Amino acid sequence: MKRFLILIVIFSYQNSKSQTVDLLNSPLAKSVFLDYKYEPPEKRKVLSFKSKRLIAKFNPLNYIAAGALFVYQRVFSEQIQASCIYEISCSNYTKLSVQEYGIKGFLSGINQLNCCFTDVIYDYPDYMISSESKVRNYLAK
Amino acid sequence: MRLKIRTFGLGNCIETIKSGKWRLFYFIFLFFFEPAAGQVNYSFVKHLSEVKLSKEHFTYISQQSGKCPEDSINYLKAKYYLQYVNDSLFLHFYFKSKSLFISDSNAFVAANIHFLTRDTALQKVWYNSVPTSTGSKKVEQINTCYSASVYPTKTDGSILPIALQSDFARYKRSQSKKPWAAAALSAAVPGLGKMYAGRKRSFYFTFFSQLTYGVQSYESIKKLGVSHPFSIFSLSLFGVFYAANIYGSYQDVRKVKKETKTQFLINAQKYYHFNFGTPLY
Repeated sequence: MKRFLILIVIFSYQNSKSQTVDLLNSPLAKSVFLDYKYEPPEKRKVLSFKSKRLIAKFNPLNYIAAGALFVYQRVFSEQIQASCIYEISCSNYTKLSVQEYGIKGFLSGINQLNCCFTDVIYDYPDYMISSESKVRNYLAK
Repeated sequence: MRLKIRTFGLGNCIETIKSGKWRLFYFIFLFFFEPAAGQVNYSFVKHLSEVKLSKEHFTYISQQSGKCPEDSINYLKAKYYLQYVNDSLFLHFYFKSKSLFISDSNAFVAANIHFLTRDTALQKVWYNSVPTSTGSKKVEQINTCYSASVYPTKTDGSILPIALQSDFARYKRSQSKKPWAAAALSAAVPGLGKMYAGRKRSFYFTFFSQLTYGVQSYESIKKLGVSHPFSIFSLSLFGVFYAANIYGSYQDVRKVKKETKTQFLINAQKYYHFNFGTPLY
């Protein structure tokens, strides 16, 4: 029994020592593998109409659109593993542009969705294509 | 360059000594009284710049500010901000040491190349400040390229280098296009406005998708009637995509105008950097 206890003490000591070694190594590992660090994608926010006019706030169509986008992004997009050719995906672009420009933003979002296919990158100049072969899109008035 | 900075430090009396037979005494004087002369160690600044020790570089220049003439310090600060891409501060120090900066042809050409793709307001400030007769052909060529980007319709593309002519021609062509014409074309034939804007592949895809929606709506109306929910749904879907296509074509022409200009300037910067690019120090 005594031998067994001594063994446990030795093993636990070694274990604790190995943990401290790991702790010492962690800053080094962090700095070395900084470039390969995985950063989870940002959580997609729900379309909000806080800064909009009173009519927009009480418009049921806005809430239907916001709900549809929310359901698509949280449920369907992840299930079908949808990947977009644009850096700001079509659904996200629609959401952001609706928030910014209202009905015009909705139309430009639908326009992007209409042109969402792989060959579209040949329509854009070189500087608009990112290293991941995606089109750098930006919100336009 | 080293000599130039030293003369600024010692004053006009040295100008007379350093020329002629007193030249040797001048250098002996510099050797013994170098710290007293209060000059910037130019080779050290060059080293800091090459190894990109930005903080040390900045600290060193800042420390010299009381000891050395302001003109030299402002000139070095301008070069520092040119290297570490801070346009507004670069311009601030450039205007304070304009004559000295222009005399450094390497830095002046580098700044001209750098400002080809910068923010339009600062770009305008920079190119307006460049003297008309610098005596440098490189600077003149870069300025011609910039003025071509500002006034594309008035510029003849043949004055530009052959490597940039196709980009300039594309840019010039895009400037004559009208957004409303693209919208009208898209209203007549879905997607044709995109073709007009110069996006062929978008046209093919849009045209066939619109055709599919249209045919489907027509079929549903014919078979189920206009009041049927499916007909209403497909017709409204078609309507939304049709309207979005018209608006998108209108937007595309405006975007293409900006994109072709930016691409032309980026290519020009690459071209001049490859041909005229020299180390800053």
